[in-house]
Amino acid sequence: MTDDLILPSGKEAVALELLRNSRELYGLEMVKMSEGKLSRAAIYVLLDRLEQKGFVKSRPEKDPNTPGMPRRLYSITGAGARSLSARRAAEAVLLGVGQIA
Amino acid sequence: MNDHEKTRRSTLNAISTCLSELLVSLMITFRSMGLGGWLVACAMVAGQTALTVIAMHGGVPIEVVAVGTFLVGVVSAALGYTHAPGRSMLRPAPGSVLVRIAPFIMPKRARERVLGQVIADMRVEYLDALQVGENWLSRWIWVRGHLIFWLAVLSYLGVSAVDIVKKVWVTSR
Repeated sequence: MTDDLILPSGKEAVALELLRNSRELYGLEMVKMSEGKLSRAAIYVLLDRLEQKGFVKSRPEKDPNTPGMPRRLYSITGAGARSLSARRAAEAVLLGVGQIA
Repeated sequence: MNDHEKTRRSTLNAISTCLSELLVSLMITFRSMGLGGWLVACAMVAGQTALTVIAMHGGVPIEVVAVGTFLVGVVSAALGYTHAPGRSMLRPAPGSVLVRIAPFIMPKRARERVLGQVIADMRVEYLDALQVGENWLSRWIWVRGHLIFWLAVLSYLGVSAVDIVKKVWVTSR
């Protein structure tokens, strides 16, 4: 239960948002879709951390036409979607407080 | 010849030799050096040696020797690049050196999930560029891929170090 309280950081939220809007994505696709918010050097470290937290799951692609190293396809988990929603809700509350003040 | 002059001569000679060797290293790195290139590189080493001997015994100003050795390097690089027919048509996939290096610097999980993905992305983009005939773009992707690889290594090590510090902090409280 306590795991659900972990909120993703800014870049993690960007990655989770992209994955929530798509079924499955490669890391490189996420970099291109993020419009500069995610870097090529950091994306896989970020995704590895998200996977260890249980927010993201991945599978190696099984394409017989693609030789060489298998690329991984990433998708968001239920826990990832919940944590992203919690972050967005927290942001909305903080923005509301700012407007009132 | 006073000490100052000796130091100046040796410094200039070292700089020009380093620059020439850097050019040859770049040729080797970009795999543009076929058999002709290797022969030219050997000629370059011989040329540098000859120039050094001339400088020591012939009274030629060291600036001339310094510029000369560098020019020999430039010409060698250019000749090696254009004498490409000697090279094999079969080349290793981009990043194959990194694949061999990775086991020595990263655990298995990081190799599969981080470094392997960086290399796979580089290969995909590299082959895409070659398919549309963008040779220079493919070379840029090769260089960029190697930079990204090492940045990913640093990033992974940084994140791991922070995690270790956090664990130590939590357990020590």
